[in-house]
Amino acid sequence: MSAIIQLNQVSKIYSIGKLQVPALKNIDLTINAGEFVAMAGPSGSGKTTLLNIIGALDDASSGTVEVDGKDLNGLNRRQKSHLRRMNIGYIFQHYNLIPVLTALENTEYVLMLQGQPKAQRRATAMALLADVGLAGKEHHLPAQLSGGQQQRVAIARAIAPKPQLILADEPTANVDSHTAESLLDLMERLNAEQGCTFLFSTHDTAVMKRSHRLIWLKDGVIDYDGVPSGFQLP
Amino acid sequence: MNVNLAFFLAWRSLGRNPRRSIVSVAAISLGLSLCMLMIAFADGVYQRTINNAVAEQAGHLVLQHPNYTLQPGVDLVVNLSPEDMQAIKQLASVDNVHTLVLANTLVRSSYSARNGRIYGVNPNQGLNSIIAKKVNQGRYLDNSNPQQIVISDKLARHLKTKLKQHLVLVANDAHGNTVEALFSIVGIFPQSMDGVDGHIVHMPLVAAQAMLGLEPQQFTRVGILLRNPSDMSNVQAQLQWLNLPQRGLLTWQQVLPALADYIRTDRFSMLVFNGLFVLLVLATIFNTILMSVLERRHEFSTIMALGTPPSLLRLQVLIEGILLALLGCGLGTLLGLIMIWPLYHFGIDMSALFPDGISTSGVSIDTQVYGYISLSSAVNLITGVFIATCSMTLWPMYKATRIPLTQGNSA
Repeated sequence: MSAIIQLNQVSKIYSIGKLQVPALKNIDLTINAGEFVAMAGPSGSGKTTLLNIIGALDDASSGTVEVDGKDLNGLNRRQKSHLRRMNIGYIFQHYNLIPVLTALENTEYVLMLQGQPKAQRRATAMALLADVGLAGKEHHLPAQLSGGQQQRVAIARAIAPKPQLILADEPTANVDSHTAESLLDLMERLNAEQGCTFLFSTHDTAVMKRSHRLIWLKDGVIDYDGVPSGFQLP
Repeated sequence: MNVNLAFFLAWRSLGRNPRRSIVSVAAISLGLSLCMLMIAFADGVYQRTINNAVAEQAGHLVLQHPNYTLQPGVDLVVNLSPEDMQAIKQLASVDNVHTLVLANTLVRSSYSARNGRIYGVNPNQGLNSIIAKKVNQGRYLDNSNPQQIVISDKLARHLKTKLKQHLVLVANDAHGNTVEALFSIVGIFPQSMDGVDGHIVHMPLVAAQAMLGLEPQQFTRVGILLRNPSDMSNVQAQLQWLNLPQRGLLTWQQVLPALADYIRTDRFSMLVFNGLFVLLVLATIFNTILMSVLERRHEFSTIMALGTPPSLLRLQVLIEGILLALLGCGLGTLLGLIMIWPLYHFGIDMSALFPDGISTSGVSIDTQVYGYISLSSAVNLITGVFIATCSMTLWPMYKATRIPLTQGNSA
């Protein structure tokens, strides 16, 4: 199996005035294509920072990050934008749907960016929304949808372009347990059927248990990396 | 670059944020329409003043002796045959040709004497002058009798004379002789506040020519009135055959330099004032557009995190600005025309503010002010506001793509 994410000695230091705050310290990590990986840890352990760096939303202070064989340090803004558009799907904790677009338009947004013909992208988006249980809600604006429904649209948007890698930042944090279960079912199905690599952060132990691999972050370093069953919560 | 997508997003963004869009469009349209109104008011006054001046004192183009401006004398006349006059009138751009004889005079009654200025005019053409309109005792000149004059009430008071009484006018004729003639007062007009017209004595052209020893084809000035003043340089070129050593063909600005300078200075002041006003409006627009970008930091961050090229986002913001400018300028033009229309058709009567009339640079200004905006002024203003509004989006465009992408991943 080939590595889709490769991190070598990645560190991230935030400068707040004269204060230097290390968020990640010399992280080495390899994630192979098709894995279903959960990343957990206490608040401030660096989960979101790590996802942002892997997702080319932020730069590492040092070390190398390779996504799908591309060294992010060597890419300019335009190239990173292209990488995100073509290779990465991102599911945000707060859904982050574009408020002026309907559920259908949000779902097909990245397909629009990719220049897919209207009929084709519309059919894809309609099918995906039906798949995530939102048939009949296609023309609703985000403000007209519940939190769970918005997160389903966000998932549909992330998977619409069939990216090799989907990064999700606490995708179940703002939904009830029932919705969280169905969202995980959906993500697992996509992982199994389409071979998408999933890397998601979570605080939820139930979610951790459903992952195939668990990475535990503590104070900016990887404290555990293995199967969830082998991990004892501190 | 996906222009259609940028347009789609911009249109959606404006439509789904109606309050912000309405504030921006209202600021642009109100600013533009008020500027149009101010220009129309000022240009209306200028145009009316110029029209009055050219009708009374000259024409848009003036034929006069080349030395007359420096040393005005009754002997410095232009000769214009009826055939030449007819040839001028036949030009398509020429509305009318006015002839005028000017001379200084001493106006004498049995009681006193005062200096005056003879305006020998054709009674039919003089009927449209401000003096004719101001006559409030008696009537204006007619063709019944050449020995008639119209004077100001101030002059009449000084001379202790009144309507239908007689005055003697004394002047030097074109041959250097002192001549005098008796005239009957047929009309009296109220002198304006600053007394610019207090010394004016209107009399029939034939009477002035006869008194001053001039031939019927000899005039102090021949004024050529144009249908459209903007044709002045074309007509001037067409009439070069008139420009002989003894006949200078001048523009009204050359004949009335004080008035031309006043209008130029006042126009510049108006330009500065309008510029400052437009700047204030642009500051509001800039603020609105910049705020519309900054309040969407989260949205723009998400859009870019999804892989939107920065150039597409910049284009979206630019298109939003262009759409606002188009809507604002369209609405502003309509609003401006609606505000100007009654001013253009009915005017504003300012006589209550200026009961004794107003004048500038020796020229009376009509107290009935009409609005006027030329097509070129309107187009320049609208284009200027449109371009300035679009340029207000440049900084917000830049700011939109400088938002940290991690912003979208925070609450």
